[in-house]
Amino acid sequence: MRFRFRELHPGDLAFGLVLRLLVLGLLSLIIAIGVMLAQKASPVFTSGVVQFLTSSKWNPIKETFGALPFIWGTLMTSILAMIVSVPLSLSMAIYLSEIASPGFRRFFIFLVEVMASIPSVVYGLWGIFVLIPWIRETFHIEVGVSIFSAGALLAFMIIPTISSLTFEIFQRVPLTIREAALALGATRWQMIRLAVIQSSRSGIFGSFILGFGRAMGETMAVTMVIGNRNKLSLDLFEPGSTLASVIANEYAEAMSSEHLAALAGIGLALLAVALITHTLARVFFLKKEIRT
Amino acid sequence: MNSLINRFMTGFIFTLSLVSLFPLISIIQWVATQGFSGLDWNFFTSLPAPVGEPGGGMGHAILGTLILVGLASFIGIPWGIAVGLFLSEYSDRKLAAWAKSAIDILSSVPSIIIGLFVYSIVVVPMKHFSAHAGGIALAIIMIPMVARGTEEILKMLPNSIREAGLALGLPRWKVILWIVLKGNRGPLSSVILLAIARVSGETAPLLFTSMNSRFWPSSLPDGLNEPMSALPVQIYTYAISPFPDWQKQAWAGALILMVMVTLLNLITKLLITQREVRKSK
Repeated sequence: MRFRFRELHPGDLAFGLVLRLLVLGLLSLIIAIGVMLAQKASPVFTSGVVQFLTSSKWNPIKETFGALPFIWGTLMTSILAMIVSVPLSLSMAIYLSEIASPGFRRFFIFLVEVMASIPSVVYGLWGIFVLIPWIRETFHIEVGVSIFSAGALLAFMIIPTISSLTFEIFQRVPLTIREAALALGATRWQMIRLAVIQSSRSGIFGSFILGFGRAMGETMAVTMVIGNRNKLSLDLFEPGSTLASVIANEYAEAMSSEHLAALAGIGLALLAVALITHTLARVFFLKKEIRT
Repeated sequence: MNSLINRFMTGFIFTLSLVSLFPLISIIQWVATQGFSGLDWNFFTSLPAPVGEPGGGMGHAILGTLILVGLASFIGIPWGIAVGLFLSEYSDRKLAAWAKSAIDILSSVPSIIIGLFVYSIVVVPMKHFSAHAGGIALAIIMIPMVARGTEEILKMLPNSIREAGLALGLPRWKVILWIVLKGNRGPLSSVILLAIARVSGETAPLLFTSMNSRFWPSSLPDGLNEPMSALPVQIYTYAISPFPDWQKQAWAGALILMVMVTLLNLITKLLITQREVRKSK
């Protein structure tokens, strides 16, 4: 970029410089984060990335580090969360946008905002003492901490994210499209299906992806209810771990440099997952803009 | 037939929406009832009791959160506003495009990764955990939020106001500071308060930066060089502990935290409506 020296006033010159420096600082911050992670994880690269990602044995004492249990845990909890959350969030968005009367709408939107502002430790606390006992009773299992419990908790946590995004997308659908459907004799539900949902499909999908990404990056609440076991298990009702939760659990106590490098490798994987999700969501949101 | 489906679907959607709110109701109910019974004067003023002994409090954690969020705001708010100002007031196309992507990317980085980053950059060279590190980590989380909010607010300001200032002979930087920023204090404050509310609830980035402590912070500025407790971290530590007394305190801490966050959000709403009321007059 070139500074346009249109600013003749020295005060303006200085001010513009300061602002631009801070912006450049922000850019270098992001690059620094990526570089730092890659650097710390370099032993992983030298000893084999594929093996790191596909091995399912994580044993810091024996110094074998396979990240598969955590990849599995992250994927399973997030997919579970989406299965539960999508119908709920979509319904909330539809209700808010199409069905609710103005008073109810304001009230429900307020509630969704409160839900969005609950810190994740509080979700975790509630998960430990309310959700898990309920799951233990309902599904008759001994140990409540599990991938399933984490997925269920995550589902509730991402409801505000998905529903508020989807709500805004619904709001952008032009009135004329809705009226056209109604003029053709559609019932309200048919109008919602045909005019609102159909025309904002890619935007809706984008908000799903963002919700999915949010679920994959969630750390504290997951750590509190997932049991933190580093063994890969196909039984969803057994304890597990996610990429984020294992970092939270082991980083402060990791002693050997190989352990730290492996955890940094997991951090890199988490970062990559977050960035890919984010970019994918952007693609879907942009698609929507072009279409309308 | 269609109208039957219509009525069924309307009811179904309404029911699912209510179900979506159920966790919120449950959380509020539990935090309020469990948390309230754990609150007493001791809670706010004393330190944790030795492990296993009843009593003690979270005074140090509440103070710690205030200090950490204060530190974070000191760095994060000016930086965030500066970036937001750049995006709304200056027209370097390329730099602006990079800046927008940067804000987007930084806001999607999981907060624990930011904690890892600050650990490597600050904690390792200093050779110990510190409030400084915690504050920096929280600041990094604040910057994209404040920048985005600032840009959105200032974009809505009509250009004529800026031109009026320039026409009066003010240099550009004065127009930006005294007119653009000063004139939007209300909405900008709400952006800042929202960022503060969000950051006060963050736990993960503090785990390896300011870690936790069982003591009151030492007097500044030395206190900032030591590990510092924070409310969310303390809640986490107590919640996963096996002691019922600590678990009760975790609920109490959660109550305090939620009251803090909700209060900030409510003040934000008040600021916005106040401004709109003034504008319409």
